[in-house]
Amino acid sequence: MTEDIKKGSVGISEKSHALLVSLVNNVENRSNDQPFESIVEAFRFAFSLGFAKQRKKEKSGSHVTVAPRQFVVTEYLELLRFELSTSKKSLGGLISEYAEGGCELISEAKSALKPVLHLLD
Amino acid sequence: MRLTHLVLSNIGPFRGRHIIDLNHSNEATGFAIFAENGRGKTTVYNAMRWCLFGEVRERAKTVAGERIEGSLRPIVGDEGKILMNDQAYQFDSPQEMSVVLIAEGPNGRIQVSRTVSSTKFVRKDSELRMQLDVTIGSEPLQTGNEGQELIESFFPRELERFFFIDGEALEEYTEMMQSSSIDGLQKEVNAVLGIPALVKGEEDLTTIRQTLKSNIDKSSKALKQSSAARDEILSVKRKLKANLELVAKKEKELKTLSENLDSTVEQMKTHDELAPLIEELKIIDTQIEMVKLTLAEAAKDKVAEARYAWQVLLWSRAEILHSKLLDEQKQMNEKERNIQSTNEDIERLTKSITDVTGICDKCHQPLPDIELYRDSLKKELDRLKSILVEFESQDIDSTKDLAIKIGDIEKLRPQKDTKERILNSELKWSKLVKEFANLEERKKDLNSKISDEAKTNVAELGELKGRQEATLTKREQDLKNARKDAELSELGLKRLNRLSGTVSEDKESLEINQIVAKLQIAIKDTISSYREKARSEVEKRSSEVFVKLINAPDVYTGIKVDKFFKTQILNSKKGFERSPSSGMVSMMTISIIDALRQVSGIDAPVFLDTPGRSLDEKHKKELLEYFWQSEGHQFLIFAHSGEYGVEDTIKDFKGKLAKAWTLSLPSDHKSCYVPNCGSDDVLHDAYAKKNTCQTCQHEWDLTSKETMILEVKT
Repeated sequence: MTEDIKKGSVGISEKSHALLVSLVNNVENRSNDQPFESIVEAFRFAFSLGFAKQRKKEKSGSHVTVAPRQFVVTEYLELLRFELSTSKKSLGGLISEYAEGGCELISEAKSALKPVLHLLD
Repeated sequence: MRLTHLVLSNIGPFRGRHIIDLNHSNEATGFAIFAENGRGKTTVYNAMRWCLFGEVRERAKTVAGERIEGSLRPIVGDEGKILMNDQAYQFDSPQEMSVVLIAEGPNGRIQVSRTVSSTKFVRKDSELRMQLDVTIGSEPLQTGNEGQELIESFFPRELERFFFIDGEALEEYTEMMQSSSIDGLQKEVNAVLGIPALVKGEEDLTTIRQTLKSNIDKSSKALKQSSAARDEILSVKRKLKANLELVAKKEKELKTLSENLDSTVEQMKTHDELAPLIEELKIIDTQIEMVKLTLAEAAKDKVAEARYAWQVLLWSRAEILHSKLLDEQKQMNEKERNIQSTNEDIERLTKSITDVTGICDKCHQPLPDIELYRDSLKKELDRLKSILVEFESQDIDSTKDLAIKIGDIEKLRPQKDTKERILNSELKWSKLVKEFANLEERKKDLNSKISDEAKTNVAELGELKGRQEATLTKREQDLKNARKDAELSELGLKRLNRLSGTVSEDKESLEINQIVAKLQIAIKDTISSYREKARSEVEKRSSEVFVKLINAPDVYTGIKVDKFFKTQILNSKKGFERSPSSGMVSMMTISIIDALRQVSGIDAPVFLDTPGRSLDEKHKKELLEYFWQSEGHQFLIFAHSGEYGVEDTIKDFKGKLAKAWTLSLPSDHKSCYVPNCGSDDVLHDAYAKKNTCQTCQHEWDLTSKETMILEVKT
């Protein structure tokens, strides 16, 4: 971590959090499209989707923090270094923006009754 | 019984027909046949045995008091000594051998004729035909087995040994008599007593009693079984009744159950139209359960694969950055190589500048323009230093930093087929979700067609039917078992009725057994009494004979015969003679044999082969003195000239010797042997091997092996 890049915290909006929670696998109902083992996995997917599709959204209103121990932001530093160097955002903040963007994409897919994992295409 | 003629044909050394005429004019009873060894004495003796009993055995042996019978002498054959004359066997066709015995008995003339003959040349006795003809007085001719039975009615085979006495086998008799040899002499003693039939009868009674005992035992066992059966019948009857009641009860139950089942089936018929739907519903329920399980597995797989979905997404962009970093790494490597190379060049040039001396290394002359040369080197050095500065000023991360960055990025790289696997698991899951939804839809549809009440009814009726069928099967098996038990009880009852019914004590067998037991005791007593009487008689008579034979009444007083017919010589001191001489023992044996013969009551001649064996001159003489008594039976001895000399015997026993014969070969005679000739004027032809009587012109062949029987004038 260089001097000029801040680590920051990771979080998402309550709405997005609710969406991610709905994606976590429920053993009681295997018919639902809930492909993730935990909320952290769902968050990682949302961030990756946002980054891959270059969809970012700034946080607004109250938000829910993602457990830092389970989601280590520095693992993605090199990926985001260039962007961070050209902006004043913290690493956690940038990741959160991409995650928020990812959640939007997921929400759209769900609205279109498209399975979440089809977003890989 | 008095023997009158003996006719021998082709037996032993007797070729052709030979007649021994025992008729005589005086009252003498003694007869003698004298011969050297090999002339046929024993053949004459055996011929009579063969004629009477159809067989001749070799001498018996006694081992440990037990008599072992000798082997049978063959009539024909190429090995061993045969009965038939060798010439007749080898050259006659048909082969034939015969012996005829003629005697006078109380019932008239007795004639026994035994012949063996063949129709072709034979080598085995089994191929010979034997003919036996027996006539007694005016009775009809008896042949074969009937003839044999007739012979043994007046001359029992068991007593043969007391009439045909083998002097050479006296030791065998002695052995039996001196030991506790009731076994050895038992047959003979029983025969002498005339009780073989009685003994056999007693044995038969024992067998009968064994059979009776077996019957009585069976009867007794049956009686016990019958009694036990009667006791058991009552309980079996009770059991049968209970079994039959159970059968009736089970039958009733079964009937009710069957009716109930029919009723259930009838009720189920009212829901017939729903049945296929309900059946399908059941199937769909089962399928839903199965799909649920598969779906759960597919969902688990999907979750497992989705764990790496983020890598797929990130790598879509990170891959570009990764390539860029790799290019930078290449550039960095190039830069480092350039810096190193420039540094090496600077170092080399610096050294060159320092090393320039101004003297040529080859010619060692001062170089011109040396300063100019040094300036050019310095200029080159400056240029290299400026290049180095340029290289070092390039803004490229260090190799280490780049490696870390590349490493960090590579951590985000998914495996090659991650995406494919994720999508496949998603597809699989999606299909199952669809299938599940379809099944649920069909179920919903079916449920809408069947009312809950109908469903409940059908389900309840189905369950009821199932329970009723199971109960029916169980009750049917129960009924089967109950019937089986009843059948077994009935069978048991029948068996017990049979056992208890007709059985009664076998009184008849018990009574017969008692009678037979008494009869057996009576017979045993009789045999015992007979034996005792015979023992006493044998003891008395043998003592008389013995005393006469040894002619020393002051030393030996008689013979003691115990109840086992064991014999010992009594001396004048009322004790037993502990070590009698062999001659004394022989005399004792002859005495016992004669006593047994007398007790048997059979009136028959006595034949004694080699009589003088084991006897000294005194006893030999006394033997003949005794047996050739005028009031005695015919007594024929077959003596070797070493035992009894012909001339001396004739002289010593004149008046007692009725007739005598010699057996000889023609070569035995140097004088003419024609009766009433006896001439010594004989011409011997050594070349032709014959003698010719110069008085009666009789010629005889000195090579002939045919024995002649010549009567001796007594």
